[in-house]
Amino acid sequence: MKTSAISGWKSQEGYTITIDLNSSKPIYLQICDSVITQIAMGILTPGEKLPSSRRLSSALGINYHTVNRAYSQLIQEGYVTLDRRKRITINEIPEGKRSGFDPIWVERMKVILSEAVSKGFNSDMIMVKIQSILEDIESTKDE
Amino acid sequence: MSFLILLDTATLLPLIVVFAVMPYLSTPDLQFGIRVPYNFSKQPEFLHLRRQYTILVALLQAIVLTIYVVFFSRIPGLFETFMPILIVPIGFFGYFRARRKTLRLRGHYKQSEHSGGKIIAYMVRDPIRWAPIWFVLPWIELSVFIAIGVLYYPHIPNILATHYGAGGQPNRFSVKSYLTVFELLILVYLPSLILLEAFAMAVLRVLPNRNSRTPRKAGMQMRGFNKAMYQLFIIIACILGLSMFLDSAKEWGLLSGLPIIITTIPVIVIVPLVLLFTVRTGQTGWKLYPGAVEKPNEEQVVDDDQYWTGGLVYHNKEDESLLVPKRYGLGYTFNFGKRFVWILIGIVIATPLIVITLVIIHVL
Repeated sequence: MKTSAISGWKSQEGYTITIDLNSSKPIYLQICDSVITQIAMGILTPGEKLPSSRRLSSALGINYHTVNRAYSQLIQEGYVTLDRRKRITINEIPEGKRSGFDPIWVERMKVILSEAVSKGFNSDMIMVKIQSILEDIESTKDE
Repeated sequence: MSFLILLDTATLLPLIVVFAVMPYLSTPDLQFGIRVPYNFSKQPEFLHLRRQYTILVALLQAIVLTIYVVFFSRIPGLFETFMPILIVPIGFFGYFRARRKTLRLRGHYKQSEHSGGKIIAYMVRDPIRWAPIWFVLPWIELSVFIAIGVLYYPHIPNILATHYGAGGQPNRFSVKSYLTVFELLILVYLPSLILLEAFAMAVLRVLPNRNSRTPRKAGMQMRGFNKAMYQLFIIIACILGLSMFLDSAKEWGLLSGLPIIITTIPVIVIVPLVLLFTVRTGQTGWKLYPGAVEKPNEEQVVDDDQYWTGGLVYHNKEDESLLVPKRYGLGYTFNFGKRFVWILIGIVIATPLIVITLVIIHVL
């Protein structure tokens, strides 16, 4: 994901969308994850247009209804907007006041943290890992 | 007679070279139209197989060409036409033989490799736009040729020699009019130019073959390849235009001393030119940016061979692309799984037929 992945090329030249056909997670959710991760990393910037669902589905070799479903999900969750020319645009990351964590996130975090705890990781180890993941996201953003 | 041999040799020799070097231009992960693990193309068994293909095909084709050239005057009429065409089935015989062997070889190899279903698509942000300078080049050329024709019109003889026999003697004539004078440039070349430029534009948006190992590099390379092919399409349009102009100028009596071979040289140049471009870029551009390093992802072999019949014909209903890069060979091919492609091909075939029918009805 880092800029240095290819020397001499700017990270601004493109972005990756990753799916795993063998994963039990639905493909449309995998596409959502790919987009959200890259928004957080600053690779996909506010105002940027995502490819049409036909184009992205061609690139991934999947049905375009699947991509459409991913886009609907992203619109619903407020990460992107469908503009008047029917193009998907990345939204601004909201600044300032937040109404608190979404209960759904808390639920998801709880599951992941419980998994870690029941595998024998203590809170210090978990905190270190969380810190390093956040640093990873932030460092890409600064470049 | 010697002229025809020269012409045939000049056309067939580049074709033999194309068949011989084709496997060396394929993307490393696509060999003889089969998806293989990345390091497969470096295996000694495969290198031996590829060398064998080249030697076998080039040798057989060279024998056919030599027999054709040496015994030309003694070959019966029917063979005169069919013998040189033999080069193509020989090439495909070699291809399918090598393909069968590659498939067997990969079978052993694949089991020891990771094979997963991870697909990583790199979306290039800024696809290359149609460069207007390139785009208008053939139009400027055509305008100049038409201007020459209009200026020279008063000097054009009233009877035009529109067709020449093998001996270089004219054997068909037309009465001078704007239609007959500009027949080649307007009725033949102009539609071809529009078609070529439409393809050139479409080519700019073609996505790379899926490559999850180094998706970013593959994406950027495809971008470079598309750009090179766009320029190539325009250059081919210009060469066709020049050829049509030289033919017309000969009819007009402007370049009457010109030997017929001169007018066909531009067309003979096209195959070596395509080859030259692809040798530089590699099919889908895998030779571009050799210095760029991308940390490779874990090897992922996505099995999409089922969509490629014989490794040559692509048909995938799920894929929205109409044009895709060929797996084996130079340039692009259609996605025959799409109904629109069949409609498009129908239109391209039907248009000249309709025009000819209308002309015949009109004349009768």
